[in-house]
Amino acid sequence: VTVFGGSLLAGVIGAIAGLGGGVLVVPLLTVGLGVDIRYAIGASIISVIATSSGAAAAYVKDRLINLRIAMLLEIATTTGAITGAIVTGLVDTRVLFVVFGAVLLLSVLPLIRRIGEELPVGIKNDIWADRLRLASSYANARTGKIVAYEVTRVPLGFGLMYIAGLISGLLGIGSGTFKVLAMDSGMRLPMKVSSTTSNFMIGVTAAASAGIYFSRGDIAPLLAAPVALGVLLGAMLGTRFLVHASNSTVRKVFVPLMAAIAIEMLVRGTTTG
Amino acid sequence: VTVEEAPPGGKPLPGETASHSPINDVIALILRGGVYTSAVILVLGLVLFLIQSPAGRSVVTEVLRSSTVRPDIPTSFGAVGQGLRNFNASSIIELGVLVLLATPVIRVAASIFLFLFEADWLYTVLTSVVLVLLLISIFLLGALGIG
Repeated sequence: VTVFGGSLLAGVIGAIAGLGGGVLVVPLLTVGLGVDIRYAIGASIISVIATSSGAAAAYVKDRLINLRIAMLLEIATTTGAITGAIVTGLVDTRVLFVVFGAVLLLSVLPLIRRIGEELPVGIKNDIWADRLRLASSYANARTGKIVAYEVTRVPLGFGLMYIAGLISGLLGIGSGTFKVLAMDSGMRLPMKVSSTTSNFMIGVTAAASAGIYFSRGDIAPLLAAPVALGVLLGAMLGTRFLVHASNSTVRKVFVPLMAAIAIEMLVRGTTTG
Repeated sequence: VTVEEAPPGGKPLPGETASHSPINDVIALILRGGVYTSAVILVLGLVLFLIQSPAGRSVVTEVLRSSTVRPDIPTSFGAVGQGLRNFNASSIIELGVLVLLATPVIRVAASIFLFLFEADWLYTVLTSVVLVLLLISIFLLGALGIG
């Protein structure tokens, strides 16, 4: 019951912020319930896929997700994830947790300055965005207005996505935070587009590494079932909220969460293996 | 970014063609279908587990807390299939998990055909690349036990 309730919360938050909720599921299971870290990570992979599919179904229908950007960037994340899985073992994961935790913590600062920002202003398509027809629009559910947006610094976003994939492959985390960051700070998409497109993409990233966890027997059925059901229900509740929320509200959910994730990564890097 | 009034009659805005295509609806349908199917299987498996072994809960908790004892978890398609024939609750739950895992993969595969259907060659190719990379990482790396 605790697992279900906690997962429900993870699903709600994950669906809004564009992350998989692993950040909540892993500590809940390990610290809260004393589950071995292997099964906790196995369950968090399930939680990521459940959040992604559960939330994205609604967002795709509402046209919030930019499908072209998602498909393009998935090339970068899957390549990154494969690279990460191959070179893992050559590098000390504890060092990686500290490095990426620190990077994330530093990236929080510019976001705090922009926390009230509703839409990025004066963004013009770069040459790649034109060629790949990335610019799009979504309907603001509150005002009924169409919000059109352009996309900039596509190579930067692509590069950051490769790193996000690399982190997933190396550390076995969904890295939704890095994806949101790549689209928000890198390509300057509206926050809701960044968050929902990230949500859509993390399912693919997680599925890419799920094969490994499944064949190693890390996915425990009786843990996975309540986690998946809780997260699915939570994700569906979360989508209701996001569709009607403003971009700056989504930012206010995302930024503190990102700081928490950064700190959790630093803790994992300095304490356990 | 420009904010405009919604055009009457749904006239597409520049760069907005994709959102008037059925791609979004089909993908939403696939994701929703995968999620609901898996949820139903998971609930069935959980209920069956509680009927089969009402006292099993504490045992499971003990096993999951230990890093040395290997619980009996089916790890291959064969093992899951075997358990399904015996109405093994764990195998039914793993089937639900597999349906959930397959959902994003099916979504990518279906997108290839949707872009193809729209004669969007560029994105047909890009999405195919994603599918190949995804399958490489699931099956090849999974089989090698890397990661």
